[in-house]
Amino acid sequence: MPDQEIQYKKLREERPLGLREDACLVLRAPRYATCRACETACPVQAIKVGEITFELGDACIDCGRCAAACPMGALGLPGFVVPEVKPVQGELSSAKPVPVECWKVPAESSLPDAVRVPCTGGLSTGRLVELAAAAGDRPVQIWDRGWCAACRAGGGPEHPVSGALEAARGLLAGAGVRPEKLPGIAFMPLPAQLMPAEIPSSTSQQTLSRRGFFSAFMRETTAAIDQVRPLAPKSEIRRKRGFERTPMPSRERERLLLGLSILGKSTDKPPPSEAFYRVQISQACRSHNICVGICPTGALDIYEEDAQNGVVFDSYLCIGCGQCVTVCPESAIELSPNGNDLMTIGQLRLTRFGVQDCPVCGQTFTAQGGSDCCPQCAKRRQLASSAFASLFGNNR
Amino acid sequence: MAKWGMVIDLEKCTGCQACSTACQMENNRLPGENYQDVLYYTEGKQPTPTLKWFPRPCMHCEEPSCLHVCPTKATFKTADGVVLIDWNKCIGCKFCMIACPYGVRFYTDEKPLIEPNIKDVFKGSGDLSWNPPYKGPQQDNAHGVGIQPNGVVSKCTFCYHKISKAPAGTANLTNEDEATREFTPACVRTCAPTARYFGDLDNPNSEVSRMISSKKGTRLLEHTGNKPQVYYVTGSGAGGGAAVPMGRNGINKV
Repeated sequence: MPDQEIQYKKLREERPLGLREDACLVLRAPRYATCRACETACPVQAIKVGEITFELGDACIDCGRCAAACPMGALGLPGFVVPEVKPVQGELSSAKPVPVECWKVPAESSLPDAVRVPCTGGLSTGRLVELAAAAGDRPVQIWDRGWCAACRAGGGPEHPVSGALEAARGLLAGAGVRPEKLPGIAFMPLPAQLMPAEIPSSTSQQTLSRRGFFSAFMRETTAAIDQVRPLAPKSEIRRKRGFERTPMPSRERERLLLGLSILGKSTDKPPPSEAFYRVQISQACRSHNICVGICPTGALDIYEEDAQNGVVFDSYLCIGCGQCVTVCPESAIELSPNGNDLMTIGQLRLTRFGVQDCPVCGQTFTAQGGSDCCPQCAKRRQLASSAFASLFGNNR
Repeated sequence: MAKWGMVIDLEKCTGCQACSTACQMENNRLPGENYQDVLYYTEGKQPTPTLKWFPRPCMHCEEPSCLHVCPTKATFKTADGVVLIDWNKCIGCKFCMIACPYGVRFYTDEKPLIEPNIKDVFKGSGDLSWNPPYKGPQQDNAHGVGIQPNGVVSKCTFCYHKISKAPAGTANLTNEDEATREFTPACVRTCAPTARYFGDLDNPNSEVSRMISSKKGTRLLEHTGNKPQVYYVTGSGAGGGAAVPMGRNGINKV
């Protein structure tokens, strides 16, 4: 899970932004994916997502706001890593906030323990939660130097991080973080003439305290996520997948759940139910399992037990992209925010069908609608009889 | 550019299954998963059942319903009218199998039809589902030609590895003509009673075009709007009784 292990393919040789093509929703399933989060988030309209192409234009300013918007965490920009936050000595230690600021702020103007990222607008909800978890007792404070409104990466009156921050505050409050410990924005103006025109390159930031980040922290968090997401026994879950584009959990979601689980250990509360989606499958289901095939994260899967099978849903993995809803030919799937139902978090079996062997071809199929043979054989039989009727009239 | 199509004369078809066998050899298929099947169909009960058969390749529709549902756009139609699957894109969701009204798509990762499982005997390496001792056409995953990889759907390609090499402007691909023999789809080439004709539907002088107009070529399941490029003809045109490809019908009649 550490950032450095993920392989991102650089979109342009001279730009740091990278993409994992196999994680991008649109490139995975161009017909049903409507996601254009990165395109919308880009303040300079540098990204064009086509049906099979992902293009980054000359205009890119390396802010990482696209990466923050991506629900799959498919985009990556170096510089957004959560550093080790050192506890502060002294009486009022826990009240001292952890400042977060952007690379444009000269190093000499920022505090030595500040977390420095390319652009604060590039912090996603998951990153903010992760940051809050790493900061422990100290609240995270994003410093606005009064430059954001004029910065090209800011692009508007709203602070670029405000959307993600609001979502993170909601989730953290739900996880039991006290109001005064929630992350917030602090206005710490600096003279406007100090602001550089471009976001400095990552090489100029190497000297800062990002060496040795995680290591110990990572070990703890890997254990933590195993605790919150117990994996199903292998004999029960049989994964069928294409030889490419296998389901992959969203990086962004991993960050979010990781942060929430660490915080949950200190507050002793379960993760807030607002962090989860809920998928329901109605009686109209005909067990085609197309939803399982298209689900990008593997949140929908097939289980088999005791001559029965069906769809199992894991709310820890679901990012709520809604492709299952769109793709279902029977319109049997409903996706909704979880609401307040803690009972539906985790793995849930959504459907259950009896399995039998087709007397014609011997293939195992899900029994329904009173048909005695598998759908393929039924189709074959029906085709033959209708073909004879249309070719030879009275079907003699 | 040609628009490839096929005509199957049901009057001539004897149900010998040479086409299925040829397809199996050409495309490394196993029983039960041939791209080209002869459907056997019984009507009625003892003592007077009727056995009928029906050769069924992929229809290579003009408006393929499989193409319009594919989430990854792995199914595509070539400029010369052939519907193919890009195995590099297919995720094996099987939506196309549900959408296809003719049932001519195959997902072969499940139970084998015959025991022992030949695929276990000749185990494939990497992504390939098996490693047959005799290999047919060259592997071309982008056109769905060759040995099927695991986890993807496959279908008849009209032997795309052959027909795509035919010289431009070719009207007919037949076994009789030495010049076109090598480019003829395996099932057409093998058909002993020459019940199959293959050629350019856009060319009014091609054998297939003439047969369709003179013998009232019929397309299956017209109501679905798929517009197949495979036409069926019977001896005296649709509705004629003499052309019923029947087996024991009549013999059992008292």
